Amino acid sequence: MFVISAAFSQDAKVKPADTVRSKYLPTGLRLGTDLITLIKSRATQNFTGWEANADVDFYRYYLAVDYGTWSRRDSIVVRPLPALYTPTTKGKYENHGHYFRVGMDINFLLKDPDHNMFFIGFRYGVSYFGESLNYRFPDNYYGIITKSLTENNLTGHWAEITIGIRIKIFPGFWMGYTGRLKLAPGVSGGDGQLLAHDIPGYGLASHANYWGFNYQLFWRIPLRKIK
Amino acid sequence: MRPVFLIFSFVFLTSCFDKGDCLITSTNLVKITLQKKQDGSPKTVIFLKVQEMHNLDTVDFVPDTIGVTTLQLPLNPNLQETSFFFLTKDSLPYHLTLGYNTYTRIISADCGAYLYYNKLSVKDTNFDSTKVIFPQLLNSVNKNLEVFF
Repeated sequence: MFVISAAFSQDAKVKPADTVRSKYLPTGLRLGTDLITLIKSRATQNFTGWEANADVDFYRYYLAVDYGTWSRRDSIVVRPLPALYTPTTKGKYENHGHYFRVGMDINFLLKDPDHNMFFIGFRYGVSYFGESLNYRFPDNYYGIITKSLTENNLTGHWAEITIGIRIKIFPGFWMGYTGRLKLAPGVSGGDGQLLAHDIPGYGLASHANYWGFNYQLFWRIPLRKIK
Repeated sequence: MRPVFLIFSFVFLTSCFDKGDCLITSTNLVKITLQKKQDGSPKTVIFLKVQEMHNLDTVDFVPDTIGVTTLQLPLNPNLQETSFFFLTKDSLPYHLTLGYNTYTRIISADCGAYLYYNKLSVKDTNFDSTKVIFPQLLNSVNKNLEVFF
């Protein structure tokens, strides 16, 4: 009799399947943008870009997607070789492209009624871009050397570890940081005349790892109420 | 939440944005050692002329009064191959055509863009034999090519 009673007692503690399932149903879609990219784009002459961010919750897990564009124009120093310390000339570098990142964040503020977040996560980033560099320099033996290099259809990819916070500032609006440790960049495509310099969404291709930082403003669309 | 917000502000706003090191390794000088064909030992040669074949009005790359065992010859940055003409003190003429690829690497906006040379090969020569030792031209490399004659 005791055994039967204990078995019924155990069954009573198990949550119904639909309750467990509903825990993982999204409660809201959050859409946002990176304010640093927007300010940098307005305040500097050599960078244009924007970035949009979105995340949707599945219990403590958030599927996160970022999309952005990025173009840069730089004046590059060119030194004649082999005389490295002779007067320099200037070259013109340009790139343009778009990128996206997909990944997941794990929220450690699970019980927060305002959907505030302290999270750690990861991303995989892909960038489609082109670059060009035009420069000329005097050579002691061969006269003026002119190079006009263009690489189109380049694809970059990298991984990221993310950490950050989201804090509700007004009803419906959240603000927060995302710090990104970007890792393992790779570039494919092109004919190899110009090594990839600046990967949109990542940064300088020569850096094996890179810190990125977003200061973001989000607007949340509720999808359902939490029971 | 406020302490977490402050900690993140401190960490990220005080992160350093250091500039990259300006380490320049590129060169357009191919480094050649002159060696005896019999035993491969260094060969001292006085050249009356060492010139790029398509630009014979240019100055000699090597002074004609000094015996040398090595040469450093500049490759043409605008082309994918460069031919050199050699005339020894014994009035023996030689030629050497080198093929290579070039690519440009931007180290940083301030440090500069540099032309690198790789995939060095011997396309044509009348030296007895040649051997590519290191096919990329770098300041740190002592020898790119051995020439036997």
